[in-house]
Amino acid sequence: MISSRPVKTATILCVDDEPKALSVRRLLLESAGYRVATALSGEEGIRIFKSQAVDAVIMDYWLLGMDGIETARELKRINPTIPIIVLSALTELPGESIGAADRWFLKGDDPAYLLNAIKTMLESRS
Amino acid sequence: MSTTKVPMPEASSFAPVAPWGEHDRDSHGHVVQFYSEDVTLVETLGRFIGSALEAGDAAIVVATKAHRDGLHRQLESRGLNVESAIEEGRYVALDAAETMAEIMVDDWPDESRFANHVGGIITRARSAAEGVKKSRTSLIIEPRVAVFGEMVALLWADGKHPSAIRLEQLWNDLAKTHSFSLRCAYPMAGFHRQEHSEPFLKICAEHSAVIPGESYTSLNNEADRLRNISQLQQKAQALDAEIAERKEAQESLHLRELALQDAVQHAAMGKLAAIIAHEINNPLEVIANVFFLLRDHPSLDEGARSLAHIAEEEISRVRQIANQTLAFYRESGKPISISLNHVLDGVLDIYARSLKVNGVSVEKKFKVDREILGFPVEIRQVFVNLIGNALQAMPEGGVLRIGIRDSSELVKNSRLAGVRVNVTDTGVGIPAKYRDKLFQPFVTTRAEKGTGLGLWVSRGIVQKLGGTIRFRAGKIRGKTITSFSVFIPTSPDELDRVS
Repeated sequence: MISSRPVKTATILCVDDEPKALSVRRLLLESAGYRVATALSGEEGIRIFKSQAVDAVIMDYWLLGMDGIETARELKRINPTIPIIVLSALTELPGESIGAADRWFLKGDDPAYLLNAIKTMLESRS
Repeated sequence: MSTTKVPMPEASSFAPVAPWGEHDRDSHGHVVQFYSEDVTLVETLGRFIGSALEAGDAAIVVATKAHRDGLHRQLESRGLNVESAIEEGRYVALDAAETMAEIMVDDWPDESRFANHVGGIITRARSAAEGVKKSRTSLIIEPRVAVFGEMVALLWADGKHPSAIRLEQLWNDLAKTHSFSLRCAYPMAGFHRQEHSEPFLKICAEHSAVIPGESYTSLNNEADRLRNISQLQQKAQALDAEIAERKEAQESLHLRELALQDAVQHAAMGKLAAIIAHEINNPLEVIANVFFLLRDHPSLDEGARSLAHIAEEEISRVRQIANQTLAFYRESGKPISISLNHVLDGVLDIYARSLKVNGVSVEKKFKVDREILGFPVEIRQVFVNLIGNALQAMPEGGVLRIGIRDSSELVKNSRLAGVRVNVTDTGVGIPAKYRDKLFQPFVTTRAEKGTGLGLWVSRGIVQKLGGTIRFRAGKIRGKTITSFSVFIPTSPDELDRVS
């Protein structure tokens, strides 16, 4: 599951139950040179994660069904080294989510921050 | 409850009065009697009026029907022929409410109506008594007139306290032109409140003598009375102390209620803030991503790209307003230990480029390196706002001074140790008209460029940490100096409270 591809061609799994947000985020990541896999729920995200090589995950916090933190925990259980970023529309995540993800970002922040963070996380893994 | 010396009515023609115990037999003076039971009043009235009628003198009773009837029975039990005294015209029993209607104008006792009406009754009764006395003896004996008036008590019961006191004064005035001995009576139950203390003293002041309630007058000897006075003084002392304690407890309760209301409001705002943040930030992310992609989109020409850039800047403003406002009500997570020096250095890093471009030099005086307990995002927000404001105030360059030092401050009546951060600039200053409302929401000196929320939010964050934020302005060597002083407590009690 751990990819040795260079950062620029890394595959990012994006999980979000909002299709519009998901498609624009895919464009953003693709514009930065990443390959993108998308899932509309935590459960679907776990299926994809198990079935293909993924280098990093960007996860919405507030998902219908299995939420972002539960999903992140499950992904970390499968692969403890996988970098996970949680995006939240809330100004801060509740305490119990600390440790489930590597980073969290506020939705609506400058996209450059997110791209920088992904780049840094992938570089530190490679 | 405090003891106040009661002055005697001035320029009264009332004869000097005997000690209190003699009043029942004393036919002079303007005496007020306080009573708890009607039967007590009627008994003492029986002695007062009865002794006058027995002596062939005149008596006037202006009372309620119940008291008139009770008195009538009391007089008859003394062997007096009441009907005969009425026929002779020397005993006049009037209804208090009806008599009051004769003398009141617009709910206020009218001086001339009172003097004419009551004065006339006294004169007539006195003449009648004079006739009776003359018919009984050849000696010339001046008849006396005993008057019992209860109109004042009715006014008092109706809550018309100033009218009652005025009427007492009119009785005193009437005594300057007419000779009579007057008894007034008030039920003690009408003086049960703290605010009655002052008018009670005024009533006492209008009388030449006061007869206390039964609990005192029923005592038989001086030793018992002195004991009773001591008991009353002790009760008064205890009541004074209890009132003070209750006041304090009430104030404390009021403060707790306010704090609770504040907490409930804060929690409600927190929930609302979470919902609003969610609803704003979700679409904001999509928009921000779209404009980010448009920045270098090959299909756009320079003009379109410029418009996209303007839109991106405006999105940044929306983000700033939303997060400044909503972060304030965030309620999740636990506060952690934060180095203020690191926070300040981090914020100066953020502004490093702008400071350089604006020609602003930075003078740091970090005398201590203290850690405080709080939320890093919030603490950073305070100094991003203060330093950002300072930078905006110095478009032509200047000096930004950041000082950190140990300090203490009196917060809510306790002196707390803590750390103080001063952010001072030599910029354009804050116009006087804004200074009083700097920390109110939507107050900005920067027209459409400012949100007007920065200082309001900053103060909220600092106050949440148990601290204070203050503003000072002045001139040093012709330069305008604007300084914000943030005090954050570091004493353990405060840290516990914050966590």
